Amino acid sequence: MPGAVDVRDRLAGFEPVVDDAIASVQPPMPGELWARGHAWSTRRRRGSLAIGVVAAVLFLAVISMGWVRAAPVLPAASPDTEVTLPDRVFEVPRWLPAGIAGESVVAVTETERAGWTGESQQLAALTASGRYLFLHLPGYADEGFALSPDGRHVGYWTTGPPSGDPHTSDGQGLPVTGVAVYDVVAGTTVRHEFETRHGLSPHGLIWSDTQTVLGTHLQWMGGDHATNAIAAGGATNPRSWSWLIGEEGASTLELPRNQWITWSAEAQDGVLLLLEDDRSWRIEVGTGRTTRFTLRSQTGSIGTSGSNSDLAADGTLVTVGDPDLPGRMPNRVRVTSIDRTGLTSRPRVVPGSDRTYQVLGWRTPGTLLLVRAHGDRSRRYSIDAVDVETGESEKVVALGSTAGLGWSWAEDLLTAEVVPGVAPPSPMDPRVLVGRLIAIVLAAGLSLVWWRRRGQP
Amino acid sequence: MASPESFEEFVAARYRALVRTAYLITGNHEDAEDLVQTALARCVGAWPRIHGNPEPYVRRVLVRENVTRWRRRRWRETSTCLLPEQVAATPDLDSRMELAAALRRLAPRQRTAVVLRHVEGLTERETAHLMGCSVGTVKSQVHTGLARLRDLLGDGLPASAGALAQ
Repeated sequence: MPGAVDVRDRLAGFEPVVDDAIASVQPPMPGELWARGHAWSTRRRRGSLAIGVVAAVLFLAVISMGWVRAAPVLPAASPDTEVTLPDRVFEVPRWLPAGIAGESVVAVTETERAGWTGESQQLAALTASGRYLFLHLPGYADEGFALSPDGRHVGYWTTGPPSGDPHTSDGQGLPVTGVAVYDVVAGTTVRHEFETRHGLSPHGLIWSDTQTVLGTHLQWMGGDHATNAIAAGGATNPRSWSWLIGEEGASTLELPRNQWITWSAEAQDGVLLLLEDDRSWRIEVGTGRTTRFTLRSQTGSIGTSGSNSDLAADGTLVTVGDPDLPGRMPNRVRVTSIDRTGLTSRPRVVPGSDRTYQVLGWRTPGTLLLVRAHGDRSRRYSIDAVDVETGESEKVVALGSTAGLGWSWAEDLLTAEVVPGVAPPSPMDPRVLVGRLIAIVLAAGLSLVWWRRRGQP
Repeated sequence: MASPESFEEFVAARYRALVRTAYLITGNHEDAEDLVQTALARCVGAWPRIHGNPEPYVRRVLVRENVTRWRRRRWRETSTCLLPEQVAATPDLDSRMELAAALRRLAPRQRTAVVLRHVEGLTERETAHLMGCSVGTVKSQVHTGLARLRDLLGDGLPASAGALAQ
């Protein structure tokens, strides 16, 4: 290619011409370039250092903020920790860590727990020393739980693989196959699996004393792939059972015909009450002795884990529901007495018990603990101690908003000393934390590059 | 010894050679001097490391600074289209102005690659080292640059290489 050769030759011949062009060029004054370069170099170094320092400070600030927000407020607990009730209950932070309480818990609630890949419903506990933490419950099925009266154990329905096609309501839930008891002090779990083809339809779970948990479940008639609509959505074969911690498995509990343990049942010291509006039952779990009685104007469940009633060891029964305000919630509270023969006294309304949602138990022999609402527009809730004779009321625990209604309290620990509640740590979303750190590093890097390039000597 | 004296000695000895390279890759006398002085000042901070054999480092800074300037678009905004008066005093004015103008119309990286390879006579590896790129990139840039020069100068090339060389 002659053209290409010519271009190269012309370029080669261009060099002496350039020499002529720059013949008059003289170096700058001695020292001028050195001083200029030295000043620029110093400026550049100081700017880089400043950017580095700012980035390091920001980095440490974010790390410190994350650490401070995640730091435990109280020291580690021991089983001997004195039981206290906080005067205020806080909302459970979604990023609170899970762990072993190491002490009794005064209350538990089901709430949303955040993870790196999403949220799930988990049980959070308020411990005897006022700490908050999530409980690690193996196989938790999110189908109900029950806290033992002494705050030592949590019973809950467990998930697992059934022998046949699992019933999950098209992936909306997990197949339930058993029940478990978690020891909050030791962190150990005892599980009991029931034979099931498609999974269980759980109904109620309740502690009859500190060592025995009772429950009722049905068997789903079909799994997710059942072609028969009735089979897919129906449950049959109810079974009520009693499980003593430490025993190999649950033993069948004989209940009156068509009677099941539901979330409105109540139990104390081996006595189970099945409370319905038209007829109620008193069952002695150990002997099976059953008594029927009538207690009108019970209120239905309000969808919380709290109880509508309380049975004391001496047979005193407290229920939410006034015959003059039938079927309403909140309602007033009535007190009656029950023994092996049925009702022994006429129910009477507790004065000053208006707007009660739950009955928790007795704080003193004459003082009930009730969950009540306050305020009209911005409704707040609290646990109030109400004198059953005079109706005098005193706020014991502030529950805050609706979320406070979800706590399930250990009945035997309600007499504990009330102390100022301490807010739980609120750990930052680690994804945000990591994002901020990466952003700081990137910003610092880009700033350094920008700074080192922009300056001209 | 890394001292201002050694730096000044280097500047005194190699300033003209550096300006010549800068002139070839910028196409402008004033820009060439500014580029060389900027590159030298940038090397002051590194002088303790490079003072034993500073020229490769200085030339590398020179070439890369030129590309950086082009990227910032500052260069084109401030450059002039006039050749230095020294060129105007030579006999083959038209031919050299035509070549210089054609060089200026190349993209900076192409112009740098062509100048270093075919005016300065560096090898492809040396050119790649100075430009901070691969040998393949140098080959590509030179090939494209020469093709562009041929287009700009025309196939006939009435002003022969011999005339320029003389």
